[in-house]
Amino acid sequence: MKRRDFLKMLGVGTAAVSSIAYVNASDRSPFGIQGLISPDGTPQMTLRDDKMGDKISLLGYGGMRWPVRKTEGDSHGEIIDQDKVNELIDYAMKHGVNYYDTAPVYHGGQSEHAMGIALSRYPRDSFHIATKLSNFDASKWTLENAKEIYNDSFKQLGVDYIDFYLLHSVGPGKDSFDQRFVNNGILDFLVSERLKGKIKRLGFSFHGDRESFLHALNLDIKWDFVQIQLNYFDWTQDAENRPGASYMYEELVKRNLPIVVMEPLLGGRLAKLNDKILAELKKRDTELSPASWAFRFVGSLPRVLTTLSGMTYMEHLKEDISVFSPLKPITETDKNFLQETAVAMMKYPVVPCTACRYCMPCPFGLDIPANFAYFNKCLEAGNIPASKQSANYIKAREAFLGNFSKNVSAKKQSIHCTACGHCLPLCPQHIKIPDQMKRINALVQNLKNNTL
Amino acid sequence: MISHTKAAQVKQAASSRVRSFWMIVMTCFIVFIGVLLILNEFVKQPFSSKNYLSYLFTVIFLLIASVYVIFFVLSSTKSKKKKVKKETINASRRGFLTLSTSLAQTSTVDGVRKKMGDGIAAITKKRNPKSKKPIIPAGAVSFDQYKQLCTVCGACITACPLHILSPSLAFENFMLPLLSFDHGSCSIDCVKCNEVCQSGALEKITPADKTDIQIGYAVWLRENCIVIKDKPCHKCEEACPNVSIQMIQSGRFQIPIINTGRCIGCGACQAVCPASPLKAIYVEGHMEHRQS
Repeated sequence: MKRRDFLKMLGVGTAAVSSIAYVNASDRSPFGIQGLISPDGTPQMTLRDDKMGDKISLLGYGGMRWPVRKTEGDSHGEIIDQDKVNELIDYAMKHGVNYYDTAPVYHGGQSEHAMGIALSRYPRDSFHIATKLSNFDASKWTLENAKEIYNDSFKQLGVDYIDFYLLHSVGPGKDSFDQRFVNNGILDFLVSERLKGKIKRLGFSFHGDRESFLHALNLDIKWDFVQIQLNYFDWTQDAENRPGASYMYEELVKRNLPIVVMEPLLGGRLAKLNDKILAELKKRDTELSPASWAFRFVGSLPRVLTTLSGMTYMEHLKEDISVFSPLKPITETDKNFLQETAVAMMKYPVVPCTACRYCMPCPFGLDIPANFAYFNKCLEAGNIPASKQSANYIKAREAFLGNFSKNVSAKKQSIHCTACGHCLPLCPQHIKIPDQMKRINALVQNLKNNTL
Repeated sequence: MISHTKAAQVKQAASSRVRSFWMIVMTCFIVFIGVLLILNEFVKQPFSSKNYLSYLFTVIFLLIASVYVIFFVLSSTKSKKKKVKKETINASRRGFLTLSTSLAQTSTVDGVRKKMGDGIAAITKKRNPKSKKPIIPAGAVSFDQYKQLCTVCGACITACPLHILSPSLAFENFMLPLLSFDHGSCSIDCVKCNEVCQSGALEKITPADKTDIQIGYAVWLRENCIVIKDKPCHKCEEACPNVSIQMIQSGRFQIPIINTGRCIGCGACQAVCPASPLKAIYVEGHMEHRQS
C-alpha cells in the first residue's frame, strides 16, 4: 500500500470513528452531578463557619458504615474494603467534604485505621478529623485506660493533632457521666491536651436525657461543640430517655455552641420509607428523594455546623453531595409538612434501631440489628399479621418466615436471647432489646405453629 | 547545473503537492468537527450555563476552520498564479473527499439515532433511558469482582432463556456479559446463568435468594412518560413483581413512583413500558449488589 493510500484510509477511518464517539460521548448522570463543581474547579458544597474561623462542609463523612468484604475462611469476619474507602474519600474530598468522623469502636476498631490511610494522602490542613473517647465499658473508666484509647487514636489515624475530639455517647444520668469522665480526671486531662494543641476542639456526643444534657453543658468547661441526634422524625418528639431534638437545639443555640448532627436519616430509616409515606413525599415533589428531604431539614437549621452521614456506596455519596451542593433550604410550609410526616410514621410500631451496632457483639451470638432490621422491614411492608383472621395472613406468614432465616442466620435469631441484659446500657437509642427480642420471638413461634 | 535546478524544481513541486494534500486533510477534518459540534448542540439542550463550554468550543473550532480555509484559498490562488492552470480533475482528491464526507455523515446520523431514537426525540428534549452503570446478574457480588472473575466464556449468554444477557461492546468492558431490559426482564425465579457459570463470577444462588438481591434500581423519566400526555398507563405498576411501584396523583396525572429501597432492578417495568421510541422507565445498575 502506498503511503498516500494509507493516509487516506486513516483519515477516513478517524473521521468516521470520531464522529460516532463524539455524538455518543455526552451523557447526563442520573443525579445531575455535573453542577457540583463550578467551571473554575471549586466545589459548590455549602460551608458553615466554625467559631475558630474554619470553613466546615455542611456534609460530613461518618465512618460507621464503610463497605466491607468477607474475609476468606472465617464467615463472621468482615474487614473494611480499603480500596473502596479510598475511592469514596477521594470523591468526597474532590467535592468539598472536609469533615471526617470516626471512633475507635466503629467496625471493631478498623474504621480509624482505614480512614487514617485514606486521608494520609491529603495535606493535613485540607480536612478535619473527629474521633471519640469510647470508654463504654466500666473496666475502662480509669485515666490510664482512657489515655490508652486516646493515644491509640493518634496512632491509628496517623495524625499529630485531632480537630474534633468527643466524649463518646454521653448517656442518661449525671452519675454515670461523672464516673466515666469527671471523677477519674479524664476531662481535666483532655482539657490540658486542648491547651497543648493536640485537640483543637473538645465536645461530646449525646444520647441521654434532659438531666444529663444540662449537667454536661453546665459543667465548668468551655465546650467547643456538641454532637446530637437530629432529624425531622424526632424533632419534637420526646423519646423514652431522650429529649426532642428541638429542645437540645434551642439549648445549644442559647449557649452559642456549634452543633454537629448525627443520624440525620435515623440509620437509613428516613431514606427507606414505606409506600404510604413515600407517596405523600412524592406528591409534594416527584423529583426529590426521601433522603434529600431529611438532609434539607437538618441543613436548613442555621446553627448546624455539619451533618454526618455514613455513606456506604458511591450512589449514596453522590446523591448526598448533590443535596448539599449547594443546599436549598426548606420553607416553613415544608417544615410543617415534614412534621406531619413524622406523626404519620409514628403509627408504625417499628423498633427504633439505627444499626449502629454498639450492642454487638452479643455474648450469645445474636445479630441484634439484623433481627430488628428484618422485623422493621416486614412491618413496613405489611407482612406482620395481627391475627389469623387478618386478610393477608397466609401470604404474610409465608413472606415473614420464608425470608427470616435468609436475612438472619439461624444461630443469630431472636430465639437465642437469654435476656442477660448485656446490651441494655450500650444502646444509644435506649431500646429495651431483650423485650423486643421476646416480641419478635413470640411472633416467629406463633407464626410457625399457626397459633397467632 | 541545469539538471540540478530541474531536480530542485521537481522536488519543490512535490513538496508543495504534499503540503496542499495535508492542507486539504486538515481543512476537511476541522470543518467536519465544527459541523459535528453544531449538530450536537442542536440535538442537546439550548444554551445554558451548563453547556456554555461546548458552545465556546464550537465557536473556537469554527474560527480555526475559517482561518484555515482562508489560508488555504489564499495559498492555492498564489500557487495558481505561478503555475499553468490545471484542467484535469484530481480524481484521487475527489474520491477521498466524497468517501470521508459520506462516511462521516452516515456515522453522525447513526450516532444521533443511537443516542436519541428516531430524530423526533431531539425536538421534544427527551432523556435517553440508558443505564450509566452496567447491570449484571444477581449472584455477582460487585461489578469489580464480576469483571475480575468472568472469563467471557459466554455460557450464561447461551443459557439465558430470555435473551437479555449480551456481550458488551463498550471498550472498557469488551465482551463482558451485561443485562439489558429493553426486550425482556430478568425473571425472578430463574437462576440459569448462575447454574452454568464455571468461573465463579456468578455465585450459585437459589431463586429464593434472588428475590431480595438488588442489582439496580428503576428510574422514571417524566418527560418520556405517556401519562403526561393524558394517556393513563400503569403498565410498570402492574408488571412489578416486587410491588415497588405505585401510582400516585400528581396534578392532573397518575404517575408512577418507585420505592428504590425495595426495587431489585429486575427490569420488568422497563421491558413492558410502552413509551416509544424512548422508554420512560429504565434500570440503573448497582456497582455493588445489596440486600433489599
